[in-house]
Amino acid sequence: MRVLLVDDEKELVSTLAERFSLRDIEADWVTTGEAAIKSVASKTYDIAVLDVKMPKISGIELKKKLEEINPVLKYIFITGHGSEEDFMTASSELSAEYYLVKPVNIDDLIQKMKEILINPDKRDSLQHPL
Amino acid sequence: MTSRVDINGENALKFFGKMTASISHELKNVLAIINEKAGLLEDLCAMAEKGRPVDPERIKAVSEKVIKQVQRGDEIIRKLNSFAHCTDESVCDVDLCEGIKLVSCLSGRIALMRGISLATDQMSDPVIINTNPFLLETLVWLFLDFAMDAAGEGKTVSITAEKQHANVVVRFSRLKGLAGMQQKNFPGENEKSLLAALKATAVIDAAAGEVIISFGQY
Repeated sequence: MRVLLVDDEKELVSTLAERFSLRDIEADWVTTGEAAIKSVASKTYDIAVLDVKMPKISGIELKKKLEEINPVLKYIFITGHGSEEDFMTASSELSAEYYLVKPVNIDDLIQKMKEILINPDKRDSLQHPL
Repeated sequence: MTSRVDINGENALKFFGKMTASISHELKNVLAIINEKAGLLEDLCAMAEKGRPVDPERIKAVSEKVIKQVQRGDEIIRKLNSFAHCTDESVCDVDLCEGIKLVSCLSGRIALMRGISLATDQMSDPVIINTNPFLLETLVWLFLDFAMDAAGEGKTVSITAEKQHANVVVRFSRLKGLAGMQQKNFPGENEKSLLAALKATAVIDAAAGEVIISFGQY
């Protein structure tokens, strides 16, 4: 499994990537949407973990751009919204996607990634992805 | 001075909501980083238990980053606390420089999301006025919000407070896109009612790229 982590908090993505590598998961990290576009254009990833709120390009906008480059790439959103309810209200566009609220549990995150990669269609039918 | 908050109740609530939502996002990020650093320490301990050597310097470096994030969180909460206490008194002596720095700090993440830098470092001496601190901060935010639009993405908004003859002025400068925004009808009704409540006036100088709020008789 090859993962791209995208969040403007460098300390967060770099540490998460290190923890993935300790679990033998190949993970790259970037802190901007522009860098994510370059990464996906130059390397094949199975899944991208995107922060929802980032400067310049939001996670939602970024997903649309990455889909044009790699149509089979899968996504998980992570959000700093105060609660799941806040997030769902603010981002109804994402209601059928997987998302996790910060701080995330790495085991939950890996579990969600596996679920998406094993059965990508399952996410569309989930009422409560968490 | 009319110091009742309810004349601008809706503005005030929106301002309060906007600031606290932004701060809660930032605190979530701080907690998320601490969470990952703590998790990494746990991972390294688990490795050591299995006989894989762990460099003590690595542990030290991770711990130092946890401390840094705790300090960051503490600073955010300190600013939030100052903000919460600005409703304690309806009228009091306020250092305008401190008020501007507080609003800039609280707006930091909003500015970052819009690709804007905020510069408040040109203020040194206190500029004291007797006013309603919460209405003042609401007014500064509304003008800063406009100034960020006027500056444009990737630019810096400079904010200063200074005494000018009998007045005290707050100046938002380096607003390169201001000339093209005249049609935007600013200040609007909300800003005008706050200006009236605070006995202040505003001037937009498109040629100079500045927006100036003037508080009279100080």
